[in-house]
Amino acid sequence: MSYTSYFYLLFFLGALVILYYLMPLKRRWLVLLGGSYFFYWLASGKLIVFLLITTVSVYLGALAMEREQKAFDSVRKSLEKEERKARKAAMMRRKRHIVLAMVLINVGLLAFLKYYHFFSANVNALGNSLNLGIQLPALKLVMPLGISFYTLSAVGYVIDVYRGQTAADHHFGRLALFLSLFTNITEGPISRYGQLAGQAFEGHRADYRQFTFGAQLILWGLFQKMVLADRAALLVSTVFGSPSDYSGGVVILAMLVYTLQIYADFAGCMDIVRGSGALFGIEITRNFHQPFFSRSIGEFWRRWHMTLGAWFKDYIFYPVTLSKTNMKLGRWAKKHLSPHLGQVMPTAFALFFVWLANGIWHGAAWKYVAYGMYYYVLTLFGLLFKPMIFLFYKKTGIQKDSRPWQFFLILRTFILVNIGMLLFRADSLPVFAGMFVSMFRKTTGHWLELGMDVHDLAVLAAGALLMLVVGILREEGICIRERIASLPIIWRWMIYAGAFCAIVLLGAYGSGYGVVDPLYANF
Amino acid sequence: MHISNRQQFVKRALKIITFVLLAVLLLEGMSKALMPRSNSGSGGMHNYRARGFYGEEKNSLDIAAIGNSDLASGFSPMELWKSHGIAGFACGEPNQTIDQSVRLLQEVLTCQKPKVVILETDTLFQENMEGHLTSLVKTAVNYLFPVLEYHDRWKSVTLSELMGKQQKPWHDSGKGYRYSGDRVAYKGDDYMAETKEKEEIDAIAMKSLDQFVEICQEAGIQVMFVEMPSANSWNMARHRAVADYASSRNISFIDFNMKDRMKETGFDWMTDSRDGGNHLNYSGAKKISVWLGNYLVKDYQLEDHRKDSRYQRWQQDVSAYDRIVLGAVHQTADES
Repeated sequence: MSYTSYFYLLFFLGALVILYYLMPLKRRWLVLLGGSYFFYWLASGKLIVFLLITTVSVYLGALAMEREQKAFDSVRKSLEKEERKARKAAMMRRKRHIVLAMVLINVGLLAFLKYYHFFSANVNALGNSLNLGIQLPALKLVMPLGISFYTLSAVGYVIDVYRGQTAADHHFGRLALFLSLFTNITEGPISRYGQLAGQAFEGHRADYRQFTFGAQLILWGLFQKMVLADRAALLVSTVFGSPSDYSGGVVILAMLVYTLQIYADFAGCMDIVRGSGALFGIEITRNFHQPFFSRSIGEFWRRWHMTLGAWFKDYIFYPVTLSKTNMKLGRWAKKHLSPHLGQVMPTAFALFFVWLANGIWHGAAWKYVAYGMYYYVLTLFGLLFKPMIFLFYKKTGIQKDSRPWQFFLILRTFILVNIGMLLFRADSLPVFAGMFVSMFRKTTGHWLELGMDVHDLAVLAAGALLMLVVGILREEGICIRERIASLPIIWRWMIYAGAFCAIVLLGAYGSGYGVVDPLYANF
Repeated sequence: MHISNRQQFVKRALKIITFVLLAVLLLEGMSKALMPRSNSGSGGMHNYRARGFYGEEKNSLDIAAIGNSDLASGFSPMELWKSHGIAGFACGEPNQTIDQSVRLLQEVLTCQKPKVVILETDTLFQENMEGHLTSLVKTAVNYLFPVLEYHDRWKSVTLSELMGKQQKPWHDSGKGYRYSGDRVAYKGDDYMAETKEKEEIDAIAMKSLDQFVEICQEAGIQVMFVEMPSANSWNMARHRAVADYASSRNISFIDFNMKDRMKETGFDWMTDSRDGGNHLNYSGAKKISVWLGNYLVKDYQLEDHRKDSRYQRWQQDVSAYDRIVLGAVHQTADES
């Protein structure tokens, strides 16, 4: 079910809202659970069994770890120091085994369903070239909806329980709701148990302001997805569909328009999803924070797809940096290389795994590995050359915080991100290379013959400008919905009605337009 | 609800209702503004080729045939005119689903009172990507608020159109028939091989079919089913499904794919298809249409209008039609 379909917006949300507020407060979560499983069934049918496997496994795993901990806690006071230490070590070891099992089962499932084809294709190719006679069978595997998202949420939960940051949830329904909530299941945000489970489970009283703000956010999200993203798709698919036909300014334009498309699509869907949650009094985490105002790659990935970066930071980066191996590496580097490198190397080591994971999470292809490595190398540069950059500022006297310099940093980051997007969208690594090089050649192709006429381009330009203005206002900390809500009713309603009309008139839907699946939906 | 008083609740409920009404009004307004003012392609009408009947004299048609592209390529009403003076029209939309057939029938009935309506039964099994229910809902919504179908017209709508000025309708001398002189033979196997199977008509499609038949019956129109020769979309299982339905309701069903029927028309897959088994070319369409003309004249009381002064334009259309099918002129749209 697409978040931009009539079915979702009118029937599904409408029915769910009515049912939710008719139910007694304590039972309202059941409506959400039922709705979410229905949503899932419509999308993936029998594959719902995988979601259930994940839910049941982490439910039981968390409870098992809690049992271990409780068993130890009940006897520790009565033990001698030596025995206590031994028992504790044994308990910790058992807990570790449980959490590892949970991670292996669930990440294993994800890895198998998502990466088997990539893995077997490469193994076969390698085997063939080395004449090893290996031939892994080609399996037709289908991915259940949202597996890349809910798996991370589930693994995050079970690791949080392991670390003692969250208590194990005894209520299966609450955990099931947390993992299956229809707002997050298709393309995130990757939710944390502590942030979402409680409030999703709690029944909420109708709050007019929250409800209407939610509806307005949905409207804004629809505008971004249907008017901008789906329209931009016309140009993007034309150029990326036959990249060898275009060069120069056209490729640059396509790259920029793709960046607009993916942002409007993903952020737009996130707004629809957050608005949907607000209708039920649920606050869904933000996934974007005006990413194109970032002054560095690091900052960009803290503002773009925020929940993914945060997940990698908490569940890959920190464990790796704090691991014994990494500490040893740092000490070795400090001793044998330099104090600077002694600091950098552990971080660089941990970051490698973060970016590798980021890359392959996005897809099972070498292109995505390269995508991760691209940002890894950029981040590494920043780390390695930090002292030199510091010297640069000192020597030139440039004020880091000055407006022009900040603008330069934003522009530089924007360009680097666009190149990353070019890689992300190109069919493959070689195609990306070809397109990248072609940007510096003479222009082939005419900007009006790329699948969009002058009206379409005007809409796109106006829309991009509007998104920029919204971004600037948000950067300044202004809550736009509140500002609009404080206007007299005639102006408010003109804005809402205007947005509605814009979506109906300018949306890229209906005859003449293909259906554009949300870009992050098939993960 | 966290309300301080009943008054606030009422006020807020009213606001929500009013806003919804406003949205409906806006949809109405935008629909009125952007609806095409003529049935022509240049006027922005979608599937205008199936809507040439708007360019005919009111209540002048004897026959209206409704279906998909198989119909538009296989049925040439002018053949009926030339041999029997019957005024017919082929309303064929590509990939038409049965719920769209119902809508098109309703459109025809706004300006015509045919004695016979023919349904090309391919539409019963036409399922677009999203399935019958979604298709039904989408079509319904698009008819309720045409802006949802025609919203792109904001790019091309003219001032006079916005003022509501109706434009001259497009007149189709081909009466909805899509001419093709191409010849690509169908050389495949026997797609009508005997089988015990019967393909079930989807429940939602069935409802639309019932509605189609009911509309005709209520208007006193005789309805009949026809299936054009189609190697890629027809088979015995589907024949059986339609035949059963037709016989249970006493509706004539002519399936040109059945061997004896095909023989009667003289249809030949080697010479009469334009794309290897999907659509007919002129040679095939002529054979089918001539046969249908003879059949209709025999079984239904249809007048010969060739001497009728009201049908003068049809005589003129004959020469335009002849020029197209004799290959002298390329069939273009928007011949007004």
